[in-house]
Amino acid sequence: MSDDVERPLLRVRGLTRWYGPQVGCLDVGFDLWPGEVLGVVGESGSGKTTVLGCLSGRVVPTAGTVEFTTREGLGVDVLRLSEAERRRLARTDWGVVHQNPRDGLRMGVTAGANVGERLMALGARHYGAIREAALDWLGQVEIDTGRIDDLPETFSGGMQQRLQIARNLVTRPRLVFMDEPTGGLDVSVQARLLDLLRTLVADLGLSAIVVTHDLAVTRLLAHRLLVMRRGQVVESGLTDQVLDDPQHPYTQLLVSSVLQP
Amino acid sequence: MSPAVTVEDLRKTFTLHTQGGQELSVLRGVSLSVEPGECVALADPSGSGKSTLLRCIYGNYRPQVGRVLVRHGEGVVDMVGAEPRAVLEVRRRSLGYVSQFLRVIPRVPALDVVAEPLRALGVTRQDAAARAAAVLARLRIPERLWALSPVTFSGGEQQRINVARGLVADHPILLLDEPTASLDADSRARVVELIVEARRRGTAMLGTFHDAEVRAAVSTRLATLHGVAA
Repeated sequence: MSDDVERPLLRVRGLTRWYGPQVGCLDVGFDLWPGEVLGVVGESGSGKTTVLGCLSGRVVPTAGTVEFTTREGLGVDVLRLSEAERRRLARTDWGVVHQNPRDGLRMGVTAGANVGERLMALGARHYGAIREAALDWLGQVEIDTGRIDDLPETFSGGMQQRLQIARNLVTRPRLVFMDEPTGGLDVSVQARLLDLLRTLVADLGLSAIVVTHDLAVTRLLAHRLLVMRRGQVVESGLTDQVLDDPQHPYTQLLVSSVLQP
Repeated sequence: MSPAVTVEDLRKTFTLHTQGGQELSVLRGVSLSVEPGECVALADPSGSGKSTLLRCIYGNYRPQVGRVLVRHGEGVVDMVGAEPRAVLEVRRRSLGYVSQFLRVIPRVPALDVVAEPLRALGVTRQDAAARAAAVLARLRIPERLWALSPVTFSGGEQQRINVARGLVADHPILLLDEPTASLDADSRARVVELIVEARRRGTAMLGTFHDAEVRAAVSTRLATLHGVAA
């Protein structure tokens, strides 16, 4: 396989974060390959959001390394970059989709400006081209392009979430972090968003880390799962292996606790 | 050349932690092999672990002991303990699986569900759709249903979508878990036809077929999980 020469996009080793005597996450390690979607599951307090925070630079880990492969094929330790270097990577190569769209959108500017902003941060100056890209992305996330000049305030929760996704993907990031992307949405809206995410991730060949407590979401989106409990990874494997043949007592409990409609 | 699939001394025990740590030993040293152009039918009674074996070969269940060697391109991959991405790659190119139940995704049309394995192989949208349509037509799924999500389909229609999805990509190895279970006589005959055609093209197949007529029509040989062929 030609894959042998490929290197992981992200190589995480020994990631640990203490909050005083409380463990946030302990000795978390994994590789994320290009085009791969990794699901991180566990109940609240299991440490999954801490891991996502450490990886995306919002939480400073106590120990560990996070090596990211740049577009030039070089490995950089994300945790040891200067603030300026890290912010440049965050703008060019990463996207973050928050559970609450208000945390990821600028509510005071129009939908079009929300999408165009990240392009401008990367140096795009041609107004027509930026507007064109915004229109294209609104279409891709199934928002009526006639709403381009409206404020996100006037959108439904599902539309705001789709707008947040457009804002993130417009710069073609290589790695997207998602924290409970379908969390606050109605079930009917969830299905649409999941289908959209699934299609976009596959078509763009994105790598993504999706934190969720919803196992059905991981079945649809993730190739591989990490199951976390009390800050540690207790089980990992292909999504269907973990869900259909769970090994760890905690995973078995999680899987058997899901209601099947 | 090695067989398409070789199972060696495969052991699978389920430990039910939520039920007091009860242990279920389902596969106790299974060995068998399948050659290209063969369709091997597992002849054990229901509840004896046939589906478990198929799932272990597909890399869905994780056995404790043994090897599952699957021919993959020029090489061979041991599915037991293989890296997740290696398992996905074997499934994408070499190993197909028709389960008893279709896992449907809301909003995804039947035609796309069937075309997906081809898209994963890099076939263009147009060619994948054309090949998917051809299989759906052979299985007599009315064209007006192709653009709908199979969520609302009948059991028999879902089963045929499942068969179409499993067969469309011409994987060199196919695992078939009761592919005709909930089908009427006409649909059953059409599925049998497709399976026999695949076998004649050289596909290696291992499956369970509780229907004696179907089994006689598709299989070239019987095998059992523990012990000699029935």
